[in-house]
Amino acid sequence: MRLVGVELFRFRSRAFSWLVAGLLLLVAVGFAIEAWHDTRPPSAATVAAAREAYESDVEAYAPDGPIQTQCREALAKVLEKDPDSTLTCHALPTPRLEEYLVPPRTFADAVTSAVDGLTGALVVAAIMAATSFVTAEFSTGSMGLWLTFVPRRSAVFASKTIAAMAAAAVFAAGGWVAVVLAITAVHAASGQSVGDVVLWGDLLATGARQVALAVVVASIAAALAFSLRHAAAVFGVLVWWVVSIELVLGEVSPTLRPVSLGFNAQAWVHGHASYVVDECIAVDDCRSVEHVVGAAQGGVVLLVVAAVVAGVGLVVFRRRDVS
Amino acid sequence: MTTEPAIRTRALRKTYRSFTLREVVAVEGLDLDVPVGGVHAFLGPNGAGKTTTIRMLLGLVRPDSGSIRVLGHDFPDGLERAVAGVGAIVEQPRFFPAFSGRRNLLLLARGIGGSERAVDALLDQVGLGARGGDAVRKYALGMRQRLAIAATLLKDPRLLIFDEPTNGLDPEGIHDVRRTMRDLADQGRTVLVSSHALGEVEQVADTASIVVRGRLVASGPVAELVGASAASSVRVRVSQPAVAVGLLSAQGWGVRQDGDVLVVDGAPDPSVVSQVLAAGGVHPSELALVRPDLESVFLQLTGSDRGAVVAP
Repeated sequence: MRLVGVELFRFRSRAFSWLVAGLLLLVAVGFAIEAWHDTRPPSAATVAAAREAYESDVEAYAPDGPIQTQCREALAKVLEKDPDSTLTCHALPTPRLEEYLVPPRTFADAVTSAVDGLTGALVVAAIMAATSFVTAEFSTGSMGLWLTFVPRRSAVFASKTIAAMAAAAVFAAGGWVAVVLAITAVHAASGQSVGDVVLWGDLLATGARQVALAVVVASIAAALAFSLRHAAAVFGVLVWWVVSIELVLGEVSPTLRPVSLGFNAQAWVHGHASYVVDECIAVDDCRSVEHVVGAAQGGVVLLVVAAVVAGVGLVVFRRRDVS
Repeated sequence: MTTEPAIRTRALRKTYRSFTLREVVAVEGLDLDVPVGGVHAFLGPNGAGKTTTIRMLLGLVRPDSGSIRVLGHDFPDGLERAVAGVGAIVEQPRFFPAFSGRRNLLLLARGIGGSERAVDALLDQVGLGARGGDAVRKYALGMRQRLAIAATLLKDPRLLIFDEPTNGLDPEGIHDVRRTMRDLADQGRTVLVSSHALGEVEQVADTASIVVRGRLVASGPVAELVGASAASSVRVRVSQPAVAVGLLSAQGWGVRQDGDVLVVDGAPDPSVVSQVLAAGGVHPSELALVRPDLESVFLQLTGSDRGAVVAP
């Protein structure tokens, strides 16, 4: 515990840690600005433009309007060539003005959408903070000095990894709170309802799962950093993974979607994720089958990957010479 | 009664693989004994394996084979207990450049359960009390070296290891480091110092080990090493050098001439040289004993790879 405390002290002392926190704060500010924009009533110009579009469409969609006229002309040509055609020109619904005026966004919609969008930022923050935290030790050479004070490499590995995970949890929780508070404040200020118990329960559950995801991601990033020692190498591996596994493999072979960490993370955070596979019984008898992966499966996959990467990182760090 | 050495290695070997997978032997069967107390110089040319050996003594590098025993603890099982009593600077001091000197020391102190008060006291002790709050990246090399010395003292170590501690320092800094090493040894601690500055080392070291290509070629008290490995010479200035060369060579001694100055190798002492010259009617205007130094011993040993091992 003492070593973890020392590492957290170092984490707090790093300018980079504050930079990551600042970036998360900027994300929160961005969501707040978007929320404020969404709660504003439409301007007079917007209303005038919407009304103009509405009135134009009312004329166009009328039974004797240009759209119906074009349809009847086109239908006549079709019937000329094919008298048995069953095509008809249906009566079109009359446009309504409210369809042309975007209604103010509800708090539930805004906050749910923001929390969903926050996942990527929290994952990136966890990766940046954890990777930099460990690789800085190797790049400055201070790891060698530290090991002359604390030669137990397993303890050093564990303390630094746990500190990175704890810091990622703080970043994620802080980022989540900042975003949700900002959106709540904006909607409350505009006199809107800020949700009920059910909504807040769902939000909190999602937030808790996002924090857990950030912690697991931080452990993976820290272990990779112990294995590779250079931030560029860690980011290189991560970019390779994203491009080859997350983006390409799922497209090439949909049945392999469950090996995607992004897919499992999505299942974990949202409770489930699905993918569609074309299954053929015969050459001309194919159908699309949806497969659903639950939160538990997604979480287990992430934990297993984290454990394997951590194991490799520990073995490499214990055996490798340190300069 | 024999005292167990502070450091003992036996048949220590370490190899590295180059990018072409060629095996490079850094340390080859090193048997090193560093006695308890005093300053022990660890000498050798570049690439002799000194830094690799020091890294193995600190557990930073794993030996391929051989044994290491430090402060009575065998590696690797006793590494943690051994290192607890060792303070070390390996090559250049490595700190977090963005952190202040004080914060760097505080981190290290907390790692071993040390106190904040001890950090401030050590900063004052090494003369960094006023600059302790500055970022290490603003420190001159000498200040970093002093910070590193403060770091080594955090553990109140019984054994201190300094790897090239005077590299890049100005004369004042070199003097400070030399005095610090001597003071630490005088406090009863053991100091192992690897250095290229042989003149500096000779002034402060009690014992020395010389390694060449990863092997020990000589070890023992500095005075004995110097005495055993190189004989004294006599330098003499005469007005008739040609006559003097003839007289001295006739005694079977080696004579090197540089103008009117002759250096006589193999003569028992200056008085005998004086007698021989006087008997031949040559009177020296200057006569001096030229004592060998550690540098000449070092050059002799590292040049030939052969040397006597003098028991400490």
